[in-house]
Amino acid sequence: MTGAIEIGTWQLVLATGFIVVSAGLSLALGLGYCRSLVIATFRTYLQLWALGFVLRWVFSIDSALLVLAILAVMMIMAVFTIQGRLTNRPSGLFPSLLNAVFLSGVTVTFAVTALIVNVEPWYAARYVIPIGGMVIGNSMTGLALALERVFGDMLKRKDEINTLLSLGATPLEAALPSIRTALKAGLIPTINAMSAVGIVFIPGMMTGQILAGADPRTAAGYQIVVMLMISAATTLGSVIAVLTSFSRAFDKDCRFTLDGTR
Amino acid sequence: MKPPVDAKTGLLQAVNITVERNAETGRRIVLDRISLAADRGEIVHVQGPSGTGKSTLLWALARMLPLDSGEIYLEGREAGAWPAPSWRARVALVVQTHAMVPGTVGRNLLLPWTLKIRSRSDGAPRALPPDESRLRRELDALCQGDVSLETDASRLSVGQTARVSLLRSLLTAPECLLLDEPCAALDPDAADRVMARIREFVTDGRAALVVGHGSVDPLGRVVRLESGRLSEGDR
Repeated sequence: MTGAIEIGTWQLVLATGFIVVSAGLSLALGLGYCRSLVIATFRTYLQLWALGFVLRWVFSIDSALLVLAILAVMMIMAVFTIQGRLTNRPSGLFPSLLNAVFLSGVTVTFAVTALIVNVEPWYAARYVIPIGGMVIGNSMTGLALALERVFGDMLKRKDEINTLLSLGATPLEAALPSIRTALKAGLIPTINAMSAVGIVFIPGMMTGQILAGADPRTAAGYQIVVMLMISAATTLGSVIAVLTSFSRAFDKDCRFTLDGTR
Repeated sequence: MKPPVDAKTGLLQAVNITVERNAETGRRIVLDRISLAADRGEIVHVQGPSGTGKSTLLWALARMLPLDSGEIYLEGREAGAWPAPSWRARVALVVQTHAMVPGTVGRNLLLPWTLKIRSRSDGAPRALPPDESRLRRELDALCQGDVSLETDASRLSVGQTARVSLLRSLLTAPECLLLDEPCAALDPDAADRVMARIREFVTDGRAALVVGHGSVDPLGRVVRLESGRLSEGDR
């Protein structure tokens, strides 16, 4: 196997040509996303270059505290991102979300690095940060989907929920069909990806490893671990987030308050 | 605070309750210091123009809406002494907008017995789940064969939904029924059957508050709600 082919300035300029084509199409068809595309491209350059420099520095220090601090920042940013994506969000969700992201992120990341990849030392930044980033990033998407669905479905079932409450149901009993729907919704993208991987698409991580010169069988092994850990993190995170936050749609006297009419 | 009416007869009481709701212009008083008692064996008809807070009164009495001031009592015990699910199992609210859960009419009628509250000795009034023959008999009596236990609940008309919802709550043997326009979508015969069933319910030592413009029970009491204030009405 040969090493990775370096991407230089000229290659990056060429790649930017793709964006010029997209922006041109947006202008020609009046789609109105030209400005957003340019800003997003600029951010991609800036953020990934910065990440490259930061990771190089972090890998050279390889400090446990620094690795944990970076994971903590990733988790807090993930919680803010999830909150920003929710449209039917009750107030006071932050602690539940942080709890869900933290528990699923830490459990799955360190289960993979310690038990499967056998990383030495346990905090080795080169492994813990990329794996943690994938776990947190992917479970964030599933978690946001599950939460959006649980509150959206409860609003749709408003009359049914009030019927159940008026018959003496607890908030959990009234919300249960929405909770089940939401947990399925959160996991569907991961299951779809697991079903199509290797046939319909080659995932980014495996592609990256192959381009960097790794043996495709080694890359496939890592990718299988990654897919399974994403599935575990999404399930665990969604279950914790939905079960600890659905009750925010009710007040202390078991009234449904998400519709804001009270 | 002690309830002002004898707890033995004043089954459900509201004392000076005020409810405000969010409106475009800010908070609006919907119920203004309402006091009302429903005694055992009594049907209280709450009448008044649309939009005067009749439905809000029922929702507040079922603790489905918070009170801004005042107290409500059941059997002389203040609402706060009852967990909300236990209260609602005893003070059953039946409104027109109440939905059926997906499935058959039979599944909907047995829905209360799928809830934890029915298996707790202190949670809800004792009412065994009705067997199939009783369900069919009760359903036929109210719906005159229009609806069967196997009917898909999503296919019910507004009037049929109202009667199935009423029957579902009747079967749980609550202490008090709160009924919002139970006869609104019914023809006169069906409305008479519904009122007869409500009368049968209260003669068993229970009470009913009925909101609506329909027929008034000869032995019932009428109160009028206008602009959030209550007054004794004409029979």
